[in-house]
Amino acid sequence: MKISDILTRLLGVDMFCLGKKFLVYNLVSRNLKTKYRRSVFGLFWTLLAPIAVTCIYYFVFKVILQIQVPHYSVFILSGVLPWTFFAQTLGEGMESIVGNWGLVSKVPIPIQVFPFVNAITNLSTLCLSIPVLLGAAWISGVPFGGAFLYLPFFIFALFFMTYCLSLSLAILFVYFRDFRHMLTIGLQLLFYGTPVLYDPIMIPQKYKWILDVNPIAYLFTGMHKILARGESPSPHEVLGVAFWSLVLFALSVLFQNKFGNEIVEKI
Amino acid sequence: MNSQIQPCIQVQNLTKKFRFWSDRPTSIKTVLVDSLRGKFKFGKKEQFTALEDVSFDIYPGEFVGIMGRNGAGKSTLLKLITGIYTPTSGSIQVNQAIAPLIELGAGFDGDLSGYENIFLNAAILGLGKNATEAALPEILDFSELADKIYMPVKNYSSGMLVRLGFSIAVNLPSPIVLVDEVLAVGDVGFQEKCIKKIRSLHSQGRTLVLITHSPIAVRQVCQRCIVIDHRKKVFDGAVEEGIQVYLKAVQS
Repeated sequence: MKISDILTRLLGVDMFCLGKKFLVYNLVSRNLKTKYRRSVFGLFWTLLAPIAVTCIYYFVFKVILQIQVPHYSVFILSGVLPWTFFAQTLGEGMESIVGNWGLVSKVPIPIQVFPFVNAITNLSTLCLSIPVLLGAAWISGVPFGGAFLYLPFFIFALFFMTYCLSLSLAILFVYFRDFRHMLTIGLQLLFYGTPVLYDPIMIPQKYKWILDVNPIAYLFTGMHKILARGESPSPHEVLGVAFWSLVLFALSVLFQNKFGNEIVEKI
Repeated sequence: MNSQIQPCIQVQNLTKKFRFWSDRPTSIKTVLVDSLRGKFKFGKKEQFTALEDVSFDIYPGEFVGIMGRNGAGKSTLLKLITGIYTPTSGSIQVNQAIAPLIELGAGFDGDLSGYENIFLNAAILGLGKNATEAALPEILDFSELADKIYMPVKNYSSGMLVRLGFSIAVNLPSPIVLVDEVLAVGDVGFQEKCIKKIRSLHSQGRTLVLITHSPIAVRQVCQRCIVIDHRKKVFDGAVEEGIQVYLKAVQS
């Protein structure tokens, strides 16, 4: 028996679509092709948006509010890029099952394929923007060292948590369509409740608990440390990320087992 | 039927009930507002039986037509066989890979070329890379699309679309082919080609389950006919007799 089979049997669901690799490959390449085929600048646009946003935040927070964070432009970029991935994947992933209803109701495809494919598509865009991030860090003079070895772990964790969350939301969205509006508000709240633009040391002591209840907080503080300071993340941050990954994973496996089979008969 | 051969589709006492809620709140706002006004109801639970106690076996190499009027439960049966739905009670066992042709060209993407859509469609139907590549020459040849295969499918005529969809579906190597009302596609010439192709599946020892309203299609390709009426199996046997039962059921 292969590891993928054991994993599937253990969880009751093929969370990583290991039995559907060819399908995932084809759907991802479809997404990438249709996204970039008809635009002249193609990938350039997906990079331009975070860079433009970074310039705006830099002006507002560094020039006007005079925030004191070293390498602040890299700091923003290393927050904005993962955040863009996170927000976009959740938004698109949530609607992916309902949006592919024509397929789900006619061909036996496990429903988690759609959020998974969406997350992989966005991950490939994120990975292409990493050279830009590293380049910005280098130009800005961030010391390169062993800390950067943590980066793959954090990017994988970001992908993993986002996928698990978007799968859970996609299932909920089948039952409650007003999650669309709630997500917009929720993301706004989360954006400011997460150290994307600020450093956690700036948070007043009595609000520090926000970092502990926010599943993605340590993900961002860790990335900031690596990319904008060249420092290794603390064990506390690494464990926090691992802990929340497991919680979100368990949640999505639970959702999938509870509703995954009957969802096709709903709507 | 030889008792030594294992059936490839085994349906035993299959019952499918759908539970649904009437007046069920579909938004959280409704839930909140209603419970504030003390009027919260989770909706009324209702049940609807789509299939009741259906049993039959289909053996490898058989060409079976399943007939029934609208709403008799044919499509539910089909979705149960493909595994989209799970049975409420009874069991359904499928021992070989199925190509479910519930809709021709499921998941075609207009912006992709016909060629790219072949791979996409095959993957959606559950095929792997090697099987798709092996079937590729046959698909290209059968579709008669020639150079147009490299054109985005949104520029295809509807005839070209169904031709491509059908070519993919019948040329993929799944041992069981499940067809829902999609035999008659394209012009007369292509229709004849389709029927001929379907018949040739027989010589390859493959199994066909055809769900249809058309006695002509059943007569053309099937050797066995199952009639479903009012959620139950009312006939299972020879084609001509089955068609008579079906016609009577439709007219009643």
